[in-house]
Amino acid sequence: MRHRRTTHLTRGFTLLVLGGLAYQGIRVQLVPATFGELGTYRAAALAEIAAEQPLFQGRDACNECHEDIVDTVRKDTHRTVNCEDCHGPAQLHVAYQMGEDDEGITAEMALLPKEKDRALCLLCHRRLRARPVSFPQIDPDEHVAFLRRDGAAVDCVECHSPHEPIFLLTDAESARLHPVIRECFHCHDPVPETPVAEVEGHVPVFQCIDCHGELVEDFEKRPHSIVSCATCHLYTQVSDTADRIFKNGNVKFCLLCHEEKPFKDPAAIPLVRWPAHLDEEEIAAVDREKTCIQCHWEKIHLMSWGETAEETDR
Amino acid sequence: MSADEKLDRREFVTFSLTAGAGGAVIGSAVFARPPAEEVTLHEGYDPRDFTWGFVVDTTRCIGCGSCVRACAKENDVPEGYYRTWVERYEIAKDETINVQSPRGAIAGFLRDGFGPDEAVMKAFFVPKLCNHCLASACTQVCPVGATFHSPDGVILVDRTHCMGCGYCVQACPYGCRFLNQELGVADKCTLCYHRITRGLPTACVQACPVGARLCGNLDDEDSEIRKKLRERRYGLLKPDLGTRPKCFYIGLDLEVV
Repeated sequence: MRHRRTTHLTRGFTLLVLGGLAYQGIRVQLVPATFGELGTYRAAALAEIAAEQPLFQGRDACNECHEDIVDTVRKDTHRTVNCEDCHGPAQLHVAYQMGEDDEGITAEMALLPKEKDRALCLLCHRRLRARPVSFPQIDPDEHVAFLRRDGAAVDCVECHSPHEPIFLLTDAESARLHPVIRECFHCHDPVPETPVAEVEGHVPVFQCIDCHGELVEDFEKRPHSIVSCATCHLYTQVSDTADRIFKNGNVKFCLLCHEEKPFKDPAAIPLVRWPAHLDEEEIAAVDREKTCIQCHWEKIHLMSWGETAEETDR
Repeated sequence: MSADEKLDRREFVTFSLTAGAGGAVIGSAVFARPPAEEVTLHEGYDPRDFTWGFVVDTTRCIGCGSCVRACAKENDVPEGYYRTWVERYEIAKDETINVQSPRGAIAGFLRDGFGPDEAVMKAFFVPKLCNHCLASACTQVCPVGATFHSPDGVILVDRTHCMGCGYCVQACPYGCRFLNQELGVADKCTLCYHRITRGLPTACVQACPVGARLCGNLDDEDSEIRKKLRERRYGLLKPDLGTRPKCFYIGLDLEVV
Protein backbone atom coordinates (compact mmCIF):
# COMPACT_ATOMS: atom_id res chain seq x y z
CA MET A 1 0.00 0.00 0.00
CA ARG A 2 1.40 3.31 -1.11
CA HIS A 3 1.42 5.93 1.55
CA ARG A 4 0.29 9.29 0.42
CA ARG A 5 1.89 12.34 1.97
CA THR A 6 -1.27 13.09 3.96
CA THR A 7 -1.96 9.63 5.33
CA HIS A 8 -0.41 10.42 8.69
CA LEU A 9 -2.61 13.48 8.94
CA THR A 10 -5.76 11.52 8.21
CA ARG A 11 -4.82 9.02 10.88
CA GLY A 12 -4.09 11.72 13.38
CA PHE A 13 -7.31 13.45 12.55
CA THR A 14 -9.34 10.27 12.95
CA LEU A 15 -7.67 9.52 16.25
CA LEU A 16 -8.44 12.98 17.57
CA VAL A 17 -12.08 12.73 16.56
CA LEU A 18 -12.38 9.31 18.17
CA GLY A 19 -10.57 10.56 21.26
CA GLY A 20 -12.96 13.47 21.56
CA LEU A 21 -15.93 11.17 21.21
CA ALA A 22 -14.54 8.74 23.75
CA TYR A 23 -13.84 11.56 26.23
CA GLN A 24 -17.36 12.88 26.01
CA GLY A 25 -18.83 9.40 26.14
CA ILE A 26 -16.96 8.49 29.31
CA ARG A 27 -17.54 11.89 30.88
CA VAL A 28 -21.28 11.72 30.35
CA GLN A 29 -21.34 8.30 31.97
CA LEU A 30 -19.36 9.43 34.99
CA VAL A 31 -20.77 12.89 35.64
CA PRO A 32 -24.25 12.72 37.17
CA ALA A 33 -27.18 14.48 35.57
CA THR A 34 -27.69 18.13 36.52
CA PHE A 35 -24.09 18.36 37.74
CA GLY A 36 -22.76 21.85 37.11
CA GLU A 37 -26.07 23.52 36.45
CA LEU A 38 -25.83 25.69 39.54
CA GLY A 39 -22.23 25.07 40.56
CA THR A 40 -19.81 22.18 40.84
CA TYR A 41 -22.45 19.92 42.33
CA ARG A 42 -25.55 18.00 41.36
CA ALA A 43 -28.30 20.60 41.18
CA ALA A 44 -31.00 17.97 41.70
CA ALA A 45 -29.61 17.27 45.19
CA LEU A 46 -31.11 20.58 46.36
CA ALA A 47 -34.66 19.49 45.61
CA GLU A 48 -33.99 16.03 47.02
CA ILE A 49 -32.82 17.44 50.36
CA ALA A 50 -35.63 20.01 50.43
CA ALA A 51 -38.22 17.29 49.79
CA GLU A 52 -37.68 15.52 53.14
CA GLN A 53 -40.71 15.62 55.42
CA PRO A 54 -40.62 17.80 58.55
CA LEU A 55 -41.34 15.86 61.74
CA PHE A 56 -41.90 18.75 64.13
CA GLN A 57 -45.10 20.59 63.30
CA GLY A 58 -44.93 23.63 65.56
CA ARG A 59 -47.48 25.13 67.91
CA ASP A 60 -49.72 26.48 65.15
CA ALA A 61 -50.44 22.92 64.07
CA CYS A 62 -51.34 21.96 67.67
CA ASN A 63 -53.58 25.02 67.88
CA GLU A 64 -55.73 23.69 65.03
CA CYS A 65 -57.35 21.19 67.41
CA HIS A 66 -56.10 21.95 70.92
CA GLU A 67 -56.89 25.64 71.02
CA ASP A 68 -57.93 25.54 74.68
CA ILE A 69 -54.61 24.13 75.87
CA VAL A 70 -52.53 26.34 73.59
CA ASP A 71 -54.41 29.38 74.93
CA THR A 72 -53.61 28.36 78.50
CA VAL A 73 -49.95 27.84 77.64
CA ARG A 74 -49.73 31.23 75.93
CA LYS A 75 -50.79 33.02 79.12
CA ASP A 76 -48.22 31.46 81.42
CA THR A 77 -44.45 31.36 81.54
CA HIS A 78 -44.15 28.25 79.41
CA ARG A 79 -45.40 30.25 76.43
CA THR A 80 -41.97 30.04 74.80
CA VAL A 81 -41.77 26.26 75.11
CA ASN A 82 -42.80 24.39 71.99
CA CYS A 83 -45.44 21.72 72.67
CA GLU A 84 -43.29 19.10 70.95
CA ASP A 85 -40.39 19.67 73.37
CA CYS A 86 -42.31 17.55 75.86
CA HIS A 87 -44.80 15.67 73.67
CA GLY A 88 -42.42 14.64 70.89
CA PRO A 89 -42.64 15.31 67.14
CA ALA A 90 -46.26 15.46 65.97
CA GLN A 91 -45.94 14.53 62.30
CA LEU A 92 -47.61 11.12 62.62
CA HIS A 93 -50.19 12.47 65.03
CA VAL A 94 -51.22 15.28 62.69
CA ALA A 95 -51.18 13.07 59.59
CA TYR A 96 -53.33 10.47 61.33
CA GLN A 97 -55.81 12.97 62.74
CA MET A 98 -56.11 14.85 59.45
CA GLY A 99 -56.61 11.56 57.65
CA GLU A 100 -53.96 12.39 55.06
CA ASP A 101 -51.37 9.90 54.06
CA ASP A 102 -52.83 7.44 56.52
CA GLU A 103 -51.25 4.42 54.94
CA GLY A 104 -49.70 2.42 57.69
CA ILE A 105 -50.15 4.95 60.48
CA THR A 106 -51.91 3.30 63.38
CA ALA A 107 -53.65 5.04 66.26
CA GLU A 108 -50.86 3.77 68.47
CA MET A 109 -48.15 5.38 66.35
CA ALA A 110 -50.12 8.61 66.27
CA LEU A 111 -50.41 8.81 70.05
CA LEU A 112 -48.21 11.47 71.57
CA PRO A 113 -46.75 10.83 75.03
CA LYS A 114 -47.94 12.77 78.06
CA GLU A 115 -44.61 13.46 79.70
CA LYS A 116 -44.87 13.56 83.46
CA ASP A 117 -41.35 12.61 84.35
CA ARG A 118 -39.53 14.78 86.83
CA ALA A 119 -36.31 14.24 84.91
CA LEU A 120 -37.82 16.03 81.92
CA CYS A 121 -38.65 19.13 83.99
CA LEU A 122 -35.20 19.09 85.52
CA LEU A 123 -33.55 19.23 82.09
CA CYS A 124 -34.40 22.92 82.15
CA HIS A 125 -34.99 23.68 85.83
CA ARG A 126 -32.19 21.88 87.68
CA ARG A 127 -29.93 24.45 89.34
CA LEU A 128 -26.64 24.68 87.48
CA ARG A 129 -23.94 27.30 87.76
CA ALA A 130 -23.86 27.78 84.01
CA ARG A 131 -27.57 28.61 83.79
CA PRO A 132 -28.41 32.32 83.52
CA VAL A 133 -29.35 33.41 87.05
CA SER A 134 -32.59 34.98 85.90
CA PHE A 135 -33.87 31.60 84.71
CA PRO A 136 -36.03 29.81 87.32
CA GLN A 137 -34.07 26.84 88.59
CA ILE A 138 -34.17 24.66 91.69
CA ASP A 139 -32.15 22.24 93.68
CA PRO A 140 -34.63 19.33 93.56
CA ASP A 141 -33.94 18.20 97.12
CA GLU A 142 -34.00 21.66 98.60
CA HIS A 143 -37.14 22.66 96.71
CA VAL A 144 -39.35 20.01 98.27
CA ALA A 145 -37.61 20.08 101.66
CA PHE A 146 -40.46 21.99 103.29
CA LEU A 147 -42.82 19.24 102.24
CA ARG A 148 -40.99 16.98 104.68
CA ARG A 149 -41.45 13.88 102.64
CA ASP A 150 -38.65 11.43 103.15
CA GLY A 151 -37.36 9.14 100.51
CA ALA A 152 -38.99 8.95 97.09
CA ALA A 153 -39.03 11.89 94.72
CA VAL A 154 -42.21 13.89 94.21
CA ASP A 155 -43.19 14.50 90.62
CA CYS A 156 -43.24 18.15 89.65
CA VAL A 157 -46.66 17.77 88.00
CA GLU A 158 -48.22 16.88 91.35
CA CYS A 159 -48.19 20.61 92.06
CA HIS A 160 -47.21 22.39 88.84
CA SER A 161 -49.27 21.99 85.71
CA PRO A 162 -46.82 21.97 82.79
CA HIS A 163 -49.25 24.02 80.71
CA GLU A 164 -49.68 26.58 83.45
CA PRO A 165 -46.72 26.13 85.79
CA ILE A 166 -47.12 29.14 88.07
CA PHE A 167 -50.72 30.20 87.44
CA LEU A 168 -50.05 33.82 86.72
CA LEU A 169 -52.71 36.33 87.60
CA THR A 170 -51.54 38.57 84.79
CA ASP A 171 -50.86 37.19 81.31
CA ALA A 172 -47.19 36.52 80.83
CA GLU A 173 -47.22 38.74 77.75
CA SER A 174 -48.84 41.67 79.51
CA ALA A 175 -46.87 41.43 82.75
CA ARG A 176 -45.36 44.76 83.68
CA LEU A 177 -41.75 45.74 83.06
CA HIS A 178 -39.59 46.41 86.10
CA PRO A 179 -36.01 47.68 86.33
CA VAL A 180 -33.70 44.68 86.39
CA ILE A 181 -33.68 42.91 89.76
CA ARG A 182 -30.38 41.94 91.38
CA GLU A 183 -30.25 39.36 94.10
CA CYS A 184 -27.24 38.25 96.13
CA PHE A 185 -26.90 34.96 94.24
CA HIS A 186 -26.62 36.81 90.93
CA CYS A 187 -23.08 37.78 91.90
CA HIS A 188 -22.18 35.56 94.86
CA ASP A 189 -21.74 31.81 94.78
CA PRO A 190 -22.12 30.71 97.54
CA VAL A 191 -24.24 33.53 98.97
CA PRO A 192 -22.57 35.16 102.03
CA GLU A 193 -24.54 35.10 105.23
CA THR A 194 -23.96 38.76 106.13
CA PRO A 195 -26.77 41.02 104.90
CA VAL A 196 -25.59 43.50 102.28
CA ALA A 197 -26.37 46.49 104.51
CA GLU A 198 -23.81 45.29 107.05
CA VAL A 199 -21.00 44.81 104.56
CA GLU A 200 -18.63 47.73 104.70
CA GLY A 201 -17.83 49.25 101.34
CA HIS A 202 -20.34 47.17 99.42
CA VAL A 203 -21.67 48.91 96.36
CA PRO A 204 -25.21 50.15 97.11
CA VAL A 205 -27.84 47.80 95.70
CA PHE A 206 -31.50 48.47 95.31
CA GLN A 207 -33.68 46.22 97.34
CA CYS A 208 -37.45 45.87 97.27
CA ILE A 209 -37.67 47.95 100.44
CA ASP A 210 -36.01 50.97 98.80
CA CYS A 211 -39.04 51.65 96.61
CA HIS A 212 -41.77 49.62 98.26
CA GLY A 213 -40.81 50.50 101.87
CA GLU A 214 -44.22 50.59 103.50
CA LEU A 215 -45.28 47.35 101.87
CA VAL A 216 -42.09 45.48 102.73
CA GLU A 217 -42.06 46.66 106.32
CA ASP A 218 -45.63 45.48 106.67
CA PHE A 219 -44.81 42.19 104.97
CA GLU A 220 -41.94 41.55 107.39
CA LYS A 221 -44.40 41.43 110.30
CA ARG A 222 -46.65 38.80 108.75
CA PRO A 223 -46.27 35.01 108.56
CA HIS A 224 -45.33 34.98 104.88
CA SER A 225 -42.12 36.84 105.59
CA ILE A 226 -40.39 33.46 105.63
CA VAL A 227 -40.57 33.49 101.84
CA SER A 228 -38.93 36.11 99.63
CA CYS A 229 -40.77 38.73 97.59
CA ALA A 230 -39.78 36.85 94.44
CA THR A 231 -41.54 33.69 95.60
CA CYS A 232 -44.82 35.25 94.54
CA HIS A 233 -43.60 38.13 92.39
CA LEU A 234 -41.68 36.01 89.95
CA TYR A 235 -39.69 37.77 87.31
CA THR A 236 -37.80 36.94 84.15
CA GLN A 237 -35.14 39.06 82.58
CA VAL A 238 -36.19 40.31 79.17
CA SER A 239 -33.34 42.69 78.31
CA ASP A 240 -30.12 44.03 79.78
CA THR A 241 -32.04 46.55 81.87
CA ALA A 242 -35.56 45.24 82.27
CA ASP A 243 -37.31 42.35 83.92
CA ARG A 244 -40.88 41.27 83.43
CA ILE A 245 -42.46 40.90 86.84
CA PHE A 246 -45.57 38.88 87.56
CA LYS A 247 -48.28 39.40 90.15
CA ASN A 248 -49.46 36.20 91.72
CA GLY A 249 -52.63 36.05 93.71
CA ASN A 250 -54.22 33.27 91.76
CA VAL A 251 -55.85 30.63 93.92
CA LYS A 252 -53.98 27.85 92.13
CA PHE A 253 -50.72 29.59 92.89
CA CYS A 254 -51.47 29.61 96.62
CA LEU A 255 -52.42 25.95 96.39
CA LEU A 256 -48.97 25.07 95.03
CA CYS A 257 -47.86 25.18 98.67
CA HIS A 258 -51.08 24.99 100.67
CA GLU A 259 -53.11 22.23 99.05
CA GLU A 260 -53.31 19.04 101.08
CA LYS A 261 -51.36 16.26 99.41
CA PRO A 262 -50.33 12.89 100.84
CA PHE A 263 -46.67 13.83 100.66
CA LYS A 264 -46.99 17.13 102.51
CA ASP A 265 -46.52 17.48 106.23
CA PRO A 266 -49.29 19.59 107.87
CA ALA A 267 -46.94 20.45 110.71
CA ALA A 268 -44.61 22.21 108.28
CA ILE A 269 -47.15 24.30 106.44
CA PRO A 270 -50.89 25.08 106.80
CA LEU A 271 -52.75 22.82 104.41
CA VAL A 272 -56.30 22.92 103.08
CA ARG A 273 -58.39 20.43 101.15
CA TRP A 274 -59.46 21.90 97.86
CA PRO A 275 -62.12 22.75 96.84
CA ALA A 276 -63.72 21.23 99.98
CA HIS A 277 -62.23 24.14 101.97
CA LEU A 278 -64.71 26.52 100.36
CA ASP A 279 -67.66 24.40 101.45
CA GLU A 280 -66.33 23.87 104.97
CA GLU A 281 -66.04 27.59 105.47
CA GLU A 282 -69.29 28.22 103.61
CA ILE A 283 -67.60 30.57 101.26
CA ALA A 284 -69.32 31.71 98.11
CA ALA A 285 -66.48 31.83 95.61
CA VAL A 286 -67.20 35.20 94.07
CA ASP A 287 -63.93 35.47 92.25
CA ARG A 288 -62.46 32.02 91.85
CA GLU A 289 -59.14 33.42 90.72
CA LYS A 290 -58.51 35.59 93.76
CA THR A 291 -60.45 33.64 96.39
CA CYS A 292 -57.55 32.99 98.80
CA ILE A 293 -56.27 36.51 99.20
CA GLN A 294 -59.76 37.85 99.76
CA CYS A 295 -59.76 36.18 103.18
CA HIS A 296 -56.10 35.51 103.85
CA TRP A 297 -54.47 38.72 102.66
CA GLU A 298 -53.49 39.53 106.22
CA LYS A 299 -51.12 36.56 106.20
CA ILE A 300 -49.28 38.06 103.23
CA HIS A 301 -49.01 41.82 103.14
CA LEU A 302 -51.12 44.91 102.96
CA MET A 303 -53.49 44.77 100.03
CA SER A 304 -55.35 47.72 98.61
CA TRP A 305 -58.47 46.77 100.56
CA GLY A 306 -56.79 45.66 103.78
CA GLU A 307 -55.58 47.14 107.02
CA THR A 308 -52.03 47.47 108.32
CA ALA A 309 -50.56 44.72 110.45
CA GLU A 310 -50.96 46.79 113.61
CA GLU A 311 -54.62 47.39 112.90
CA THR A 312 -55.34 43.70 112.49
CA ASP A 313 -53.77 43.27 115.91
CA ARG A 314 -51.68 40.31 115.31
CA MET B 1 -5.90 18.02 -0.41
CA SER B 2 -3.52 17.17 -3.20
CA ALA B 3 -0.37 15.23 -2.67
CA ASP B 4 1.72 18.23 -3.73
CA GLU B 5 0.27 20.57 -1.20
CA LYS B 6 2.36 21.12 1.85
CA LEU B 7 0.89 21.68 5.25
CA ASP B 8 2.88 24.07 7.37
CA ARG B 9 3.14 23.64 11.10
CA ARG B 10 0.66 26.37 11.98
CA GLU B 11 -1.97 24.93 9.68
CA PHE B 12 -1.35 21.48 11.11
CA VAL B 13 -1.87 22.62 14.68
CA THR B 14 -4.99 24.60 13.85
CA PHE B 15 -6.37 21.69 11.88
CA SER B 16 -5.71 19.17 14.62
CA LEU B 17 -7.25 21.28 17.35
CA THR B 18 -10.31 22.02 15.26
CA ALA B 19 -10.69 18.33 14.55
CA GLY B 20 -10.38 17.42 18.23
CA ALA B 21 -12.86 20.06 19.26
CA GLY B 22 -15.16 18.96 16.45
CA GLY B 23 -15.00 15.43 17.79
CA ALA B 24 -15.86 16.63 21.26
CA VAL B 25 -18.80 18.66 19.96
CA ILE B 26 -20.09 15.77 17.88
CA GLY B 27 -19.57 13.48 20.88
CA SER B 28 -21.54 15.68 23.21
CA ALA B 29 -24.31 15.94 20.62
CA VAL B 30 -24.35 12.16 20.26
CA PHE B 31 -24.37 11.46 23.99
CA ALA B 32 -26.40 14.46 25.00
CA ARG B 33 -29.23 13.83 27.45
CA PRO B 34 -32.35 15.92 27.64
CA PRO B 35 -31.77 19.07 29.72
CA ALA B 36 -32.30 18.45 33.43
CA GLU B 37 -35.66 19.44 34.79
CA GLU B 38 -35.83 22.77 36.49
CA VAL B 39 -34.67 22.87 40.11
CA THR B 40 -37.85 23.48 42.05
CA LEU B 41 -37.81 23.46 45.83
CA HIS B 42 -41.09 24.61 47.36
CA GLU B 43 -43.75 26.94 46.14
CA GLY B 44 -42.87 30.57 46.57
CA TYR B 45 -39.31 29.79 47.59
CA ASP B 46 -36.58 31.11 45.32
CA PRO B 47 -33.16 30.25 46.76
CA ARG B 48 -31.63 33.29 45.06
CA ASP B 49 -33.56 35.62 47.40
CA PHE B 50 -31.99 34.14 50.52
CA THR B 51 -28.68 33.94 52.36
CA TRP B 52 -29.26 31.96 55.50
CA GLY B 53 -27.50 32.95 58.69
CA PHE B 54 -27.76 31.89 62.33
CA VAL B 55 -27.57 33.68 65.65
CA VAL B 56 -26.81 31.96 68.94
CA ASP B 57 -27.43 33.99 72.10
CA THR B 58 -25.08 32.44 74.65
CA THR B 59 -26.44 34.73 77.36
CA ARG B 60 -29.82 33.05 77.08
CA CYS B 61 -28.93 29.37 76.66
CA ILE B 62 -29.96 27.28 79.67
CA GLY B 63 -28.26 24.09 78.47
CA CYS B 64 -31.41 21.97 78.48
CA GLY B 65 -30.45 20.15 75.28
CA SER B 66 -33.89 20.50 73.65
CA CYS B 67 -32.20 21.59 70.43
CA VAL B 68 -29.97 18.50 70.38
CA ARG B 69 -32.91 16.17 70.94
CA ALA B 70 -35.09 17.91 68.35
CA CYS B 71 -32.28 17.86 65.77
CA ALA B 72 -31.57 14.19 66.35
CA LYS B 73 -35.22 13.27 65.85
CA GLU B 74 -35.93 15.59 62.94
CA ASN B 75 -32.89 14.53 60.98
CA ASP B 76 -32.53 10.93 62.12
CA VAL B 77 -29.03 11.59 63.41
CA PRO B 78 -27.28 8.34 64.37
CA GLU B 79 -26.76 7.78 68.09
CA GLY B 80 -23.48 9.10 69.41
CA TYR B 81 -23.15 11.76 66.70
CA TYR B 82 -24.50 15.28 66.80
CA ARG B 83 -25.26 17.91 64.18
CA THR B 84 -25.72 20.40 66.97
CA TRP B 85 -24.55 20.11 70.54
CA VAL B 86 -24.23 22.22 73.67
CA GLU B 87 -20.92 22.89 75.39
CA ARG B 88 -20.58 24.09 78.94
CA TYR B 89 -17.68 26.32 79.97
CA GLU B 90 -16.90 26.72 83.65
CA ILE B 91 -14.05 28.98 84.66
CA ALA B 92 -12.78 28.79 88.22
CA LYS B 93 -11.29 31.72 90.12
CA ASP B 94 -7.82 30.27 89.53
CA GLU B 95 -8.61 30.32 85.80
CA THR B 96 -8.90 26.57 85.46
CA ILE B 97 -11.29 25.92 82.62
CA ASN B 98 -13.66 23.00 82.53
CA VAL B 99 -15.34 22.35 79.18
CA GLN B 100 -17.91 19.61 78.94
CA SER B 101 -20.54 18.36 76.56
CA PRO B 102 -21.69 14.97 77.87
CA ARG B 103 -23.18 13.10 74.88
CA GLY B 104 -23.59 16.43 73.14
CA ALA B 105 -25.94 17.40 76.00
CA ILE B 106 -28.69 15.30 74.40
CA ALA B 107 -29.75 14.48 77.95
CA GLY B 108 -28.88 17.93 79.30
CA PHE B 109 -26.46 18.43 82.19
CA LEU B 110 -27.07 16.50 85.38
CA ARG B 111 -24.60 18.25 87.66
CA ASP B 112 -22.08 21.06 87.83
CA GLY B 113 -18.65 20.29 86.45
CA PHE B 114 -16.74 21.76 89.38
CA GLY B 115 -17.50 20.55 92.88
CA PRO B 116 -19.67 22.60 95.26
CA ASP B 117 -16.63 23.95 97.11
CA GLU B 118 -14.81 25.17 94.04
CA ALA B 119 -14.88 28.95 93.55
CA VAL B 120 -16.33 29.44 90.10
CA MET B 121 -15.74 32.78 88.40
CA LYS B 122 -18.21 32.28 85.61
CA ALA B 123 -20.00 29.57 83.79
CA PHE B 124 -22.10 29.53 80.65
CA PHE B 125 -23.38 27.36 77.83
CA VAL B 126 -22.45 27.61 74.16
CA PRO B 127 -24.56 25.73 71.62
CA LYS B 128 -22.64 24.76 68.51
CA LEU B 129 -23.65 23.82 65.00
CA CYS B 130 -22.35 24.14 61.44
CA ASN B 131 -21.31 27.71 60.77
CA HIS B 132 -22.32 27.54 57.10
CA CYS B 133 -19.17 29.48 56.26
CA LEU B 134 -18.99 31.74 53.23
CA ALA B 135 -15.45 30.50 52.53
CA SER B 136 -15.81 26.99 53.88
CA ALA B 137 -12.87 24.62 54.03
CA CYS B 138 -15.02 21.50 53.82
CA THR B 139 -16.50 22.18 50.39
CA GLN B 140 -13.09 23.03 48.94
CA VAL B 141 -11.55 19.67 49.74
CA CYS B 142 -14.35 17.45 48.43
CA PRO B 143 -12.83 15.52 45.53
CA VAL B 144 -16.15 14.73 43.86
CA GLY B 145 -18.26 17.84 44.40
CA ALA B 146 -20.60 16.08 46.79
CA THR B 147 -20.65 18.85 49.36
CA PHE B 148 -21.44 22.33 48.21
CA HIS B 149 -22.83 25.80 48.90
CA SER B 150 -26.48 26.01 47.95
CA PRO B 151 -27.55 29.21 46.17
CA ASP B 152 -29.09 30.33 49.47
CA GLY B 153 -25.90 29.91 51.48
CA VAL B 154 -26.40 26.53 53.14
CA ILE B 155 -23.64 23.93 53.10
CA LEU B 156 -25.21 20.62 52.08
CA VAL B 157 -24.08 17.07 51.39
CA ASP B 158 -25.34 15.20 48.32
CA ARG B 159 -25.78 11.74 49.83
CA THR B 160 -26.12 9.94 46.51
CA HIS B 161 -22.84 11.39 45.27
CA CYS B 162 -20.70 11.39 48.43
CA MET B 163 -18.26 8.49 48.60
CA GLY B 164 -17.47 8.84 52.28
CA CYS B 165 -13.75 9.61 51.99
CA GLY B 166 -13.92 11.85 55.05
CA TYR B 167 -11.72 14.69 53.76
CA CYS B 168 -14.39 17.23 54.66
CA VAL B 169 -14.66 15.82 58.18
CA GLN B 170 -10.96 16.52 58.64
CA ALA B 171 -11.11 19.90 56.95
CA CYS B 172 -13.85 21.43 59.08
CA PRO B 173 -12.10 23.49 61.79
CA TYR B 174 -15.22 23.45 63.94
CA GLY B 175 -15.76 19.69 64.15
CA CYS B 176 -19.23 20.03 62.72
CA ARG B 177 -19.08 17.01 60.40
CA PHE B 178 -19.00 13.28 60.95
CA LEU B 179 -19.17 10.15 58.87
CA ASN B 180 -22.59 8.55 59.00
CA GLN B 181 -21.61 4.94 59.57
CA GLU B 182 -25.00 3.61 58.50
CA LEU B 183 -25.02 5.33 55.13
CA GLY B 184 -21.28 5.62 54.54
CA VAL B 185 -21.50 9.32 53.74
CA ALA B 186 -20.47 12.57 55.34
CA ASP B 187 -23.21 14.01 57.54
CA LYS B 188 -23.76 17.48 58.91
CA CYS B 189 -26.26 20.19 59.80
CA THR B 190 -28.43 21.06 56.79
CA LEU B 191 -29.93 24.03 58.61
CA CYS B 192 -33.08 21.91 58.26
CA TYR B 193 -33.10 22.71 54.55
CA HIS B 194 -36.38 20.81 54.17
CA ARG B 195 -37.95 23.10 56.76
CA ILE B 196 -36.52 26.53 55.98
CA THR B 197 -37.41 26.14 52.30
CA ARG B 198 -41.01 25.56 53.42
CA GLY B 199 -40.96 28.66 55.59
CA LEU B 200 -40.69 26.70 58.85
CA PRO B 201 -38.09 27.41 61.54
CA THR B 202 -35.30 24.86 61.94
CA ALA B 203 -36.04 22.09 64.43
CA CYS B 204 -33.52 23.47 66.95
CA VAL B 205 -34.84 27.04 66.74
CA GLN B 206 -38.39 25.82 67.24
CA ALA B 207 -37.37 23.60 70.15
CA CYS B 208 -35.40 26.24 72.08
CA PRO B 209 -37.52 27.30 75.06
CA VAL B 210 -35.63 30.53 75.73
CA GLY B 211 -35.10 31.97 72.25
CA ALA B 212 -31.34 31.43 72.30
CA ARG B 213 -31.33 30.46 68.63
CA LEU B 214 -32.43 32.35 65.58
CA CYS B 215 -32.18 31.47 61.92
CA GLY B 216 -32.95 33.99 59.22
CA ASN B 217 -32.31 35.67 55.91
CA LEU B 218 -29.24 37.91 55.94
CA ASP B 219 -30.30 39.41 52.58
CA ASP B 220 -33.47 40.88 54.06
CA GLU B 221 -32.73 44.07 55.96
CA ASP B 222 -35.97 43.81 57.91
CA SER B 223 -35.51 40.22 59.02
CA GLU B 224 -35.34 39.33 62.72
CA ILE B 225 -31.77 38.19 62.34
CA ARG B 226 -30.56 41.47 60.80
CA LYS B 227 -32.38 43.37 63.52
CA LYS B 228 -30.69 41.28 66.19
CA LEU B 229 -27.28 41.76 64.59
CA ARG B 230 -27.82 45.51 64.57
CA GLU B 231 -28.83 45.55 68.22
CA ARG B 232 -26.41 43.15 69.85
CA ARG B 233 -22.66 42.66 69.91
CA TYR B 234 -21.52 39.36 68.61
CA GLY B 235 -18.45 37.27 67.89
CA LEU B 236 -17.49 34.54 65.46
CA LEU B 237 -15.80 31.22 66.10
CA LYS B 238 -12.15 31.17 64.95
CA PRO B 239 -12.48 34.28 62.77
CA ASP B 240 -8.73 34.25 62.06
CA LEU B 241 -9.10 31.14 59.91
CA GLY B 242 -10.78 33.20 57.23
CA THR B 243 -13.66 30.81 56.82
CA ARG B 244 -16.14 33.68 57.20
CA PRO B 245 -18.71 31.82 59.30
CA LYS B 246 -22.37 32.88 59.09
CA CYS B 247 -23.17 31.74 62.62
CA PHE B 248 -23.03 34.75 64.95
CA TYR B 249 -22.55 34.29 68.69
CA ILE B 250 -23.97 36.91 71.04
CA GLY B 251 -21.97 37.23 74.26
CA LEU B 252 -19.19 34.97 73.04
CA ASP B 253 -16.36 34.59 75.56
CA LEU B 254 -12.71 34.57 74.59
CA GLU B 255 -12.33 31.12 76.14
CA VAL B 256 -14.68 29.57 73.58
CA VAL B 257 -13.03 27.90 70.61
